Amino acid sequence: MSVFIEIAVGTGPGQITPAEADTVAERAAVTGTAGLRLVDEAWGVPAIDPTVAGAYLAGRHPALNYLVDAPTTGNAPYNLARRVASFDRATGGRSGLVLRAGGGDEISDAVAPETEPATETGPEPADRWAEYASILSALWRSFPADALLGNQSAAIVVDGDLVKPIDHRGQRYRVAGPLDGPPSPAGPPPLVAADPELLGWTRIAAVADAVIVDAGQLEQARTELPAALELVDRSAAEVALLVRVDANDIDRIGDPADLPQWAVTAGASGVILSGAGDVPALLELLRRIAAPVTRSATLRDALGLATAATDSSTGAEALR
Amino acid sequence: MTLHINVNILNAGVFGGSWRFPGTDPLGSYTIDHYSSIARKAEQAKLDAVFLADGPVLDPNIRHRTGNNLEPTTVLARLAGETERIGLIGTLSSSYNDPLELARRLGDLDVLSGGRFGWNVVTTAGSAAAANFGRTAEPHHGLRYRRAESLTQLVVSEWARRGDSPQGRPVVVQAGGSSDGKRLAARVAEVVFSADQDLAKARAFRTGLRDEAQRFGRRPEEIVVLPGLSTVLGSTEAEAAQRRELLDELLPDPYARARLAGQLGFSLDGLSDDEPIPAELLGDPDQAGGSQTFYRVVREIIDRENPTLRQLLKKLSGGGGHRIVVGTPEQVADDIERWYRGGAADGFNVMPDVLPSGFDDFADHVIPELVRRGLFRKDYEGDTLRGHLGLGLPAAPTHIEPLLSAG
Repeated sequence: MSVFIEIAVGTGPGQITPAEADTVAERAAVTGTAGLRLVDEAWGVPAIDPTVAGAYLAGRHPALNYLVDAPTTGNAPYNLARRVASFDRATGGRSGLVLRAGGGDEISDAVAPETEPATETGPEPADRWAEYASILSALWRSFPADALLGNQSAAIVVDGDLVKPIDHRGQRYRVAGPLDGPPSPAGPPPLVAADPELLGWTRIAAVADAVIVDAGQLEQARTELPAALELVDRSAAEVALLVRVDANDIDRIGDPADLPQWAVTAGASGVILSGAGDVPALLELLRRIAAPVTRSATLRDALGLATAATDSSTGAEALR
Repeated sequence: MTLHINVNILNAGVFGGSWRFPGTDPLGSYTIDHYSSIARKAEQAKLDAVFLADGPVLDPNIRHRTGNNLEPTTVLARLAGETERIGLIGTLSSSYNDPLELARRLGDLDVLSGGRFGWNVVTTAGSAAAANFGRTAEPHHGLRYRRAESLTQLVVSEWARRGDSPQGRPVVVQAGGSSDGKRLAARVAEVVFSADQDLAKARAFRTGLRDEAQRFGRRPEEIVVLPGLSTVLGSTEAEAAQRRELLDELLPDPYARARLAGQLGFSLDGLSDDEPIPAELLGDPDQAGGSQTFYRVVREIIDRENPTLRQLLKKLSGGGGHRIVVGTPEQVADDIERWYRGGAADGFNVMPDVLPSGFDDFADHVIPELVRRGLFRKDYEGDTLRGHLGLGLPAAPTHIEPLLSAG
C-alpha cells in the first residue's frame, strides 16, 4: 500500500513553490510516503512542467517515486517518450507517466494522416490517447537493456540487431523509432491512466500499468477494470488501482492514520492524496498518516507491479 | 572582463574512441551520475556553464561509439537541483518541438534554476530524425533555418510575456556556422558556438558576425562567440602526444569512415586510403544538405592540407571537426590566450577528449593557469547565466515571422 502526494509546483492558485515542494518531498521521504504525483496544472493555470519539476526534485530526494503528468497536447510522442525515459533512467526506475488525454501538437499535426471525426469507437481525445499510449509503450521497449554492450576490446557499443524501430503508422501519428537509450533496470516506466470516464476501460486495459480513480469511482473500477482486462488477456495484477482522495475530505474516512488500511479494504493498491495547496496542513497530515515505512526500490514495487519483462542479464546492471 | 568557458559534456568525450580509453567506464555516459559529477566539478572551477548537445534520434552510427542518450531538459533540471551557480545550456531542436510547449518548458527550467538556463537553438538534419516525427526526409536546409528564426522569435517573446525569469529571459545560444546559420545568429543569438580551425578565419567569422548583428540594430558586444575546442592534455608535451596517439588507435575505423561519409554526404567505399579524396566529389558547402558547418570545416582541411583519406580520418579522429589542441596545461592556456587576445574568440566551448578524465585535467590544471594569468574568474560574481556571460537583456522581438512547419 503506497501513498502518493499530489502537488502542482508553481506560483498559481493551488500550487506550491519549488522551495515548498522541496520541503514536502523531504518530509514525505521520512514519513514513509511512496512518492509525489506532479500535475500539469491547478485551477486551469499551468504548473511548472512536471517532467522538469520532477527531475529537479528527484536529484534532491532520490528515495521517492515520481508520477509526472503530461498531456498529448503539445508533445510529439517521440519527445515525450524520450523525456520520460531519460527521467526514469536517471531515477533508477522510480518514475512513471500519467498520460492525460488532450489534443495534438504542432509537429505531428502538420503531417498527420487524415484525422477522422469522432466515430462510434469513441471521442477523439480518447482515441488519440490510445494511439499515443501504444506508441510510448512500444518506444520504451525498442532499445532493450541487453543491447547496450560497451565492449571496449571489440569496439562495439550497441548490438544493433536488438534495437528495433517501431514503425508506427497510425491515424494521427507516424513514428519510426527506436529510442536512443535503454530503460532502467526496472524496465519501461509505468504508464498511468487517469480520467477513466473519458477514456473508457477498454482503452485503459489495453496498455496501462496503473489507473487513477476518484474515491467515488472506486466501486465501479473494481468491477469494470478486471472485466476489461480479461478481454485483452491481462490479469488484474498487471494494473494497479490508485484511488485519489481529497485531503480536505479526509476526515470523512475517519482518522487519517487509517487511510492506508481504508485503501486496502477498498481494494486499491495505493492512494493519491490531492488538494494539498496548504503546505503546513499537508505537512501535518503527512505526520498523522504515518504510512508504514516499507521502502520500495522502484515505482513498480511501490505500485505492487512485477518488474517488466526485459532481459537485462548483461550490460545494464550498472545503469541507474 | 573574463574569458567565458563552458564544458560540453559530449557523452564519453569528443573523440570516436573516448569510450574505450583505459580507465574509462565505457557506459558511464548512460548514467546520470556522469553528468552530475562533471557539472559539480565545473562549478568548482567556476565555469560559465555546462553544455549538452542533443538530437531527437538514435545516432545511426551508435554501433561503434556512445551517443547522446539523455534528454537535456530533464538532465539540466536535475543539475539545477544539484548545483547553485553554474549556467545550464541545453540543445533543443527548433525543427521538432512544438513552440508553445517548448517555450513553457524551457521557461520553467530557467525559473527553477534561478535564471541559469540557456537554449542552444539547432535545426535537426537527417532522415532518421525526420522519421521520428512523421516525415520521410529531412527538411530543406533553408526551410529549417527559416523555421528556426521564427520559432526562436516566438519562444523569446513568450518568455518576455511571462516575465518571471531571474535573468530576464533565458540566454539564446546558436550553433550553426552555415550561411543560413550565421544569419540566424546575427539576428537572434547571444552566444554563438562556432567551429573554426584557424585563428584568422575565426577572427573573420567573429568580426563578420558582430558587423552583421549591427546591421540588425544590435550592439556587437551582445554576442559572445565561443569556438569549440577539443583538448588533449598531458603533464609533458610527450605525454600529451602519446595520449593523442592512443586515441587514434582506439578510434573504431568503421565509425570514423561512417561519420566522415555522413559529414560529406557521399560514401567513402572504393576510395583509396593513400590518396586524397577526389576533388570532383567535393561540392559547395552552401549546397550541402546536412550540417553545412562541418562540411565546411572538413572541406577547409582538405583545401589547406590535401591529406590522404587515412590522414584526414586521423586528423578528425571521429570528432565533429572542432579544433584539437594537444599539449601541457601551459601550452593549452597559451593557445586559449592567443585566440582570445587575437580577437578570434570571447572564450571556448571546451570539448574534453575523454570524460571525465580529460575534464578533470582541464579543471585542475588549465583553469588555474588561466586564473593566474588574469584571464579567468576566481569566483562567480553573479548568480545567473546572463550575469556570468556579461550579457544585458536585449529587447524582445516585436515582429514574429509566420511559423513554417519543418517539412
